[in-house]
Amino acid sequence: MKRSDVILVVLVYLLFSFRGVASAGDGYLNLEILDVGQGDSILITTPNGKRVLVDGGDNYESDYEISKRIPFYSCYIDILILTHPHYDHIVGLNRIMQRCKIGTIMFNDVSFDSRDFRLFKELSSNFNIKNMYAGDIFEIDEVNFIFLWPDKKFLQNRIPDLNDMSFVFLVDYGKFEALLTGDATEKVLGRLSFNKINELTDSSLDVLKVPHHGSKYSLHKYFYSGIDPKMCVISVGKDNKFSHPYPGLVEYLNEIGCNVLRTDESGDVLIRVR
Amino acid sequence: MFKILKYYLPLLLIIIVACLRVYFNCMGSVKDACLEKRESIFSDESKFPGKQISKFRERSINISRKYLPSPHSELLIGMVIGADELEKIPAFKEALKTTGTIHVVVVSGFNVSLVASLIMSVLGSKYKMRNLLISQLFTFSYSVMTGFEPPVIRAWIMGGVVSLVKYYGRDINGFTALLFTALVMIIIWPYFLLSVSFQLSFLATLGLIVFGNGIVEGLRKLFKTEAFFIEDLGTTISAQVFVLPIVSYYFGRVSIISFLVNPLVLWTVPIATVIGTFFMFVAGLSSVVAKIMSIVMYPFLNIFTVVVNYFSRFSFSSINFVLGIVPVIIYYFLVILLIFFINKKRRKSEEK
Repeated sequence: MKRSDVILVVLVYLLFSFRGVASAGDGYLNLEILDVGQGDSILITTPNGKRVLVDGGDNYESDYEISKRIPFYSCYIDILILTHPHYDHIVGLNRIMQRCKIGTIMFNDVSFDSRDFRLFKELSSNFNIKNMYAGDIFEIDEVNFIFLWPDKKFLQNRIPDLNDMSFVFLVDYGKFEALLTGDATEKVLGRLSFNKINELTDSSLDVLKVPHHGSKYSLHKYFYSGIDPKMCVISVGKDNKFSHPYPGLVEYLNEIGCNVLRTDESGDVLIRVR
Repeated sequence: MFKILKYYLPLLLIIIVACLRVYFNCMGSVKDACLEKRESIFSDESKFPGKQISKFRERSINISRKYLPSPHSELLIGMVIGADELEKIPAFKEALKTTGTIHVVVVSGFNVSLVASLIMSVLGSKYKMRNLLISQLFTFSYSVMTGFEPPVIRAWIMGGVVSLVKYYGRDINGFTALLFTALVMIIIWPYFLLSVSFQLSFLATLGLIVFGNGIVEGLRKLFKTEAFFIEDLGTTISAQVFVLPIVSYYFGRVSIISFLVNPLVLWTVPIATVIGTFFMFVAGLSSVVAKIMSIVMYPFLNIFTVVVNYFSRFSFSSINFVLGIVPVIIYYFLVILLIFFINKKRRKSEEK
């Protein structure tokens, strides 16, 4: 190899060595709905660089996205939240737990058996675990996470549909509020008090992560018109076999004046708040 | 005439045996049995040695995932042990297909030759029978660990044949060695003839043997540079000459930019493979050393990942193009004619 080739190789090597190093907070709250195909994965980075990861999708794409933002050799995530143990939310989290250190893991255990959930419980046993219920609040770097669902009582019953136990919580930072709904069903949305949400959001919800990839079983017109979101993000895979999102739901969200964004069309959706 | 017959008679006999094996195992009523997807004995996880190999592969995958993010970890385990874990990174798998670089994520003849040359550099002279046998044993073990797939078997047999012939002071050209290897493989496993990975491995190697040196030299003259990526461009083109029609026939999609992307990324593969192989062994002994090695190795894997992802975004990166069996046969016939004329011309100029 000639000297000029060596210099070229070294320069390219160094250029690609520093990817993800500048990863501290940038003074903004960054809410990123990652394009992980047919699944959910949301990364929240606080103004001072603390990280909260909500779900991981059904593949390892979320791990790649994380590696672009956090140096791979010192990967640390402050809070990791599993909304419910379906595979399209859990697989990426299992991958991330294999290599990253996690401050606290939040999830609720239920009598549901799957290989992915067993692995999740095995891997999470190395970290601090916290169960979360409606009414619980935690604050990280002036960003509040207010849990609205599930009820502790509800979890004590048999749950035929796992989506019914999905976390629903509000991310509150100053005047900005986003409602993250996991795969909450119409039944769950019907049990949530939009008056309470309006109280918390001053009747102005900035972002709604549309539940269950825009499934028709998550269409609750009364609830959506009640919370009146400005931006609705649907995390959905291109040409998915479930035909998500349901056209009727998208139509209705447009009708109530919500600006609909889809990850299958827009890729990662980034919302930055000063 | 007698001299030629004496030289080619053994090869002719092997061809006849191979044809008979294929005829009795893959024609007529037994055709379906030949088309069945078979697992090698080294893949059966319920008994020895498949169980042990499976554990080794599982351990390697976990080590890789502990220290590297995805898709870098999947890229590494594909390069080093040939484990196909691409289903978990669908976007990257698609990018590899689009850019014509998916061949990197399978263990190939390149890996076997890399292991062989590493062992030989430790052992010393390759003209000692003991060293030859040790090298063959190590490369066989490595081939088994990687699943003993057709490209690896091809490289292992071919490497052994060439080494042995050279040991006895004879010379063998690449084409004869490849043909002999392919025939031996077909005699032992007749169904390999219909295996896509066997066909691709055979044709890519054939392309490298027939056109490799000529195209690389031509490109060096054309671009007036000896830069290292010219060799990668030359090898990509020469392999593609034979591989493209088969890829089109089986997969219905051909990468347009593989000629550009391969030279940009291929140089990272041997470096990452060598560091990665040591990394897999060291990681179990010391996590600190493993971390340092992962930091050193990561940029090479990252260059590959970023370049492949970048070029896969263009709509013109690949086209859907299905070639039927007749055009494929005509194509290969024309290429063989071309080779014949090139050789004839070369011989004439040598005589002058």
